Amino acid sequence: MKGILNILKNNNKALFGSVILFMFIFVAVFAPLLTDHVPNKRTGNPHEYPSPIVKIAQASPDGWVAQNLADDKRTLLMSKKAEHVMGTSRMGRDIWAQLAYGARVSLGVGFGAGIVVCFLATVIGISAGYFGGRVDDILSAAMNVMLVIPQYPLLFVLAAFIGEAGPLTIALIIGFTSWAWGARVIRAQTMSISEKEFVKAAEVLGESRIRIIFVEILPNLISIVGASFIGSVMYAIMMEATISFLGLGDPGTISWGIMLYNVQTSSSMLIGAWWELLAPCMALITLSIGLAMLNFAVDEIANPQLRSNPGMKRFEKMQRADKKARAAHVKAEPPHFVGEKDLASGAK
Amino acid sequence: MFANFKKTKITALVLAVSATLAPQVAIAEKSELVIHPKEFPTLIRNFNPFLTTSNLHTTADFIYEPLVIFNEMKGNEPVFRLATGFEMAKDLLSVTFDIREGVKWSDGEKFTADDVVYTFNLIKAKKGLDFSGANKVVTSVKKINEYKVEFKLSEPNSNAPYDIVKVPVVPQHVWSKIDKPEEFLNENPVGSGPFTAIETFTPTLYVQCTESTYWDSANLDVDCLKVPQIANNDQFLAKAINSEIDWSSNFIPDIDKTYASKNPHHKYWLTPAGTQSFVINFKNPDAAKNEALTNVDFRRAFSMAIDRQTIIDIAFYGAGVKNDFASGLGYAFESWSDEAVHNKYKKFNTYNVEGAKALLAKAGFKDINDDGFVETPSGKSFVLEIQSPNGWSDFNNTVQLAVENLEEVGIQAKARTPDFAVYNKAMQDATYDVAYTNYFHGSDPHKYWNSAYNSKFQTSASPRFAMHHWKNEKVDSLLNSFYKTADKAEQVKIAHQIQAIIAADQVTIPVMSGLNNYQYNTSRFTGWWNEKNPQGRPMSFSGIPERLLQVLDLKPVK
Amino acid sequence: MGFFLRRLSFYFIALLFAATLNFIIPRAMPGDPVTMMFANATFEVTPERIAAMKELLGFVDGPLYEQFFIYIKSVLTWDLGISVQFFPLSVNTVLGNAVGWSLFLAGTAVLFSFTLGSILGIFAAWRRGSKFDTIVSPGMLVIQAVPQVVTAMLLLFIFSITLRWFPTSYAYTAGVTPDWTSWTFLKDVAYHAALPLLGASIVQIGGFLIAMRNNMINLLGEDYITMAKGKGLSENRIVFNYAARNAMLPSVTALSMSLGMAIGGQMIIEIIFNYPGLGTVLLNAINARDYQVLQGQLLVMTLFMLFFNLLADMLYVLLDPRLRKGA
Repeated sequence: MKGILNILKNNNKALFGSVILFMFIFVAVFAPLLTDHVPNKRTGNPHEYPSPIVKIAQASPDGWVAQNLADDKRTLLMSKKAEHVMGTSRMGRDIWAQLAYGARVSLGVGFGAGIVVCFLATVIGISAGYFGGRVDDILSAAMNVMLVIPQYPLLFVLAAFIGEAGPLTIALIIGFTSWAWGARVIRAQTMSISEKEFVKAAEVLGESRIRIIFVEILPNLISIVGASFIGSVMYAIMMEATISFLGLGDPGTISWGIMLYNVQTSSSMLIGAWWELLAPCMALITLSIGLAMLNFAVDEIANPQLRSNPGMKRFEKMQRADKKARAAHVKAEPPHFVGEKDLASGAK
Repeated sequence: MFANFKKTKITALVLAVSATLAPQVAIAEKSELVIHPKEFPTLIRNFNPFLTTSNLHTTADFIYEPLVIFNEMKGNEPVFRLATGFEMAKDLLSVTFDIREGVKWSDGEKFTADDVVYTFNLIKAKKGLDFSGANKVVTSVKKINEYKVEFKLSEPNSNAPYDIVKVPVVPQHVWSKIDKPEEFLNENPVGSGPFTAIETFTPTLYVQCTESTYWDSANLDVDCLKVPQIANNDQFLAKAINSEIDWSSNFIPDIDKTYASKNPHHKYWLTPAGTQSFVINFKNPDAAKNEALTNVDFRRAFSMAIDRQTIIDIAFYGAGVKNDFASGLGYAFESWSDEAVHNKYKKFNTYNVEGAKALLAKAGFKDINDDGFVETPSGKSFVLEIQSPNGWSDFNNTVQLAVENLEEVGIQAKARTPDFAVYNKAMQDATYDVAYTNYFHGSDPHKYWNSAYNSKFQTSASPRFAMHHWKNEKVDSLLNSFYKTADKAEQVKIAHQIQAIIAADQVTIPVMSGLNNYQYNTSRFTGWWNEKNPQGRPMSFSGIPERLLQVLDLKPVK
Repeated sequence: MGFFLRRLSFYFIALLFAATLNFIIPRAMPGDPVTMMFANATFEVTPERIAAMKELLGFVDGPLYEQFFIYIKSVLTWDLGISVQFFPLSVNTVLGNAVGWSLFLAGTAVLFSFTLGSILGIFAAWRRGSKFDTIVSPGMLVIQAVPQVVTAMLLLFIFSITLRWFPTSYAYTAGVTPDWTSWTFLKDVAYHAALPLLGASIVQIGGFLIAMRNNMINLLGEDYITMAKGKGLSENRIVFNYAARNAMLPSVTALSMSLGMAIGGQMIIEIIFNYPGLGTVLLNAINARDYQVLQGQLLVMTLFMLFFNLLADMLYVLLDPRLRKGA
């Protein structure tokens, strides 16, 4: 615990990222206490302005806010009670309540998928890297095939095929289609670790393979697994938003993606209900930035460990650079490079 | 909002740059009517009038003119176009059409009875081309002379002319040379209608213009139809608000504010459309749900729980009329209604929370396990799933509101939005609980009732409308006999009997009579049909042949 | 070369696997295309009509294995069938136009972000630890973390809908006949592509920047750079002539692979901006249950991935002499 606090104290990015993440977790957990309204019932008029805007506009009818943000007299009249901090949706539902409750789904899908991805990637990657031979051939082939199948269309089609994909379904399909990249990195890392003296020594001493994997190898992979976990969480949150936005999710759930979907179906952008668009967008942006910061921090914290082995220095350096570049892609793109690693091992 | 941003200098600069970047489309001398008949992801040059699911929606009426247009708003009054008259045989087993003389195809050939005979034989030979089901109505066609055609009907049917004119007549001298008419794109159509020349065609816009061969050109003042590609409602809205469209029939949320207030030339007129109802599954496989849904008092309580006005106000922005007819008939057909029956069951179709609770209690629906929701009389708890097709946002919103209404009276319900195909399949297979659907209306109640209550439409290939799986032989036989007479008094009598049976059972739960959307822009054309000039159904989409009559009424603004 | 044969045979197996997946997924989807076709019908749909339509489309249900062999054969002969939604057009025609626009958008976006990212990366490495490096490098990655759907919607809302600086849809002004030799038309295409391009690029710049920066930093520590420094060459010359050129090599292969991914990755951008690319086609095909187009689309996208991966392999071997020997 103390160690973590120290890290946070010394690493601004880690601090910043964790503050954002915990803020969202807090909102998600205490959503019922933080909101006056239920998210899935009509609690106001359709498309009420956010209450601060209403108050400012009422106070100074000629001010900038009244002229630009709350420029519709009728809507202003309808929202005169100013009961909704972030306004209401087309169906008169409270946006702040939806945002708060939606954080549960977005975070849930993110972490759920992240755990599935991480678990699959670690199990498959270590098995392939450590056992080698036939196991490696089969698992590597599976990874490579998964990597060349375009992820976005596959996810969309799968979501459509399942129909009204709820959060759990979305988390699972993301989890089961996105493990390949992580598995690749972990496999490569496992291979290099298994060549090291301490692993060889353990083998000579006759330790069981399971023990070697859990005691000798896994701890050395923590940073890679961690980075891949955060990357997967970001990817899953983004995919949930995208799938739901396209109308392939279950509109009955309350999530940020569904909020974006509602923006689309109720033409809110065109009829000037900007608050309905901005709320989920800002939430997604903030959370993504927070997670990106954490990702940096994990990288920075993990790197000194990697540097510890002098003989491997140059290789490690390349690995690190490589990994950073890839991690960068992992965030925005389904991770499916095929190439360098494979070539590197193929060329041995 | 952000209006002030536009006033800054930077904006002006960028605007100037973007203005020079955007090429100017040359302004044509001809008067072009911008019409939006349907959303397309991309425009495919397909003017085959038989391929109604993939062709362009200015093919019907505008390239292939109907023989007769039945003006539905005026009680199906015939407006004669390529035919000058028709006569029904006394036994209602045949009908003879007189073809207009002097009509020419756009390549200059004469339009004659041969073309009509050829077309009906074509759809007999190639069943895939029979999109309107005319083969079922017509058994054979015979040319009497150059301008007279006789149709033999499969059964006595006073409605047959209405079905016959839905078939687009194509030129024999062109189509007989086509190998596979069902795969024919007809890129350069030879037609009989007002706009047969395709002057411009790109994947994002096409223009079709009139030619000197058009028989009724004396009455036509519009030179061309211009059709932009629009993929979805949001893109439509952006264009409509910009005054880029003259004629459309789309849903515009909060139309007064979003559209009408933006420009004095933006106008709209809402015309009555069909009934929208909750359909109840009478064959639910779940015992508890089945017990509830087959209980007439439960259905009535369900109906009383529904706040129809709020649904209309919120889900439809006020565009709708409450429907409190237990038979679903609706105020548009009031003249067909037996008011005694209507009034008798009206209270069950009017919002009344206390009444609904009382009725539930009376019928034995009580909250036994104290979860706030009622159980069936035999003590089983249930959650009704109410489905509407994914993406039909006004329906989805209606269901959400209904779920809130039902929970208020103690019925536990949940909104579901499966894909249309799944929604439809569940209705055909009787595996759903409750579904929300619209209905199509004709000029009399038969089209609605027949599609909604005739048990012959409960097969696995039928559409969603009668999928409550409720059956009544008396209703079936009354519906089947409706068009066996051409006497309106006789038909009203049949209607009253049908109404009484359906209303007593509260088979469906009607919510509202919808309104058809229609927007027009008076900046470039005048003479639009509207509430002051109600000449007919004013919608711009395919399937409304009256749209041709409206085009003939338009005059370009000089 | 044995290496290439190995890669090729792997790509072939991957292709067959993808084709099998393509075959299974649409068939497992509930609902048939004909029902969807009539979903939004504004007219009454009779059972006769549905039956007629099925007949017209030639929906004959054979046993699954038979369908599968017919399908594999059609894949190998590149006969992707007929679109249901756009009957009677072939899938090839439907995809044909879209592929061009998708490649255009993806190509331009990748090149743009590669150029910008690499230049920024060189500067970041050169001025390692400077304000520029500590703000821009992570900054671009943070921007990249924002979901594309959010970026695209905000771009559309701010620049197209509210400010009206850019169009809300299309690849060029509606009604203009494409003329690639006309300057006006090219300007029009650029004007329409601006926002989609921006949306598609934002998420890639950071990756190229970091890759370039890290390669540069590694290289700047190499012996020959130290030697060059020792020789007294100017810093500019060292950075641009020696380090940047060599640091570019891994990025070039990454560039090729990015192209393969970008085509799939930018689908949401195309959908939001109604850009006539593969993304728009895919969403329509999903909604219309247009099996044939769906299959063709997934196949084409897989082929792009494979092609650009193969290209990356080749570039890698060409550019890295060590690998050439090793293989």
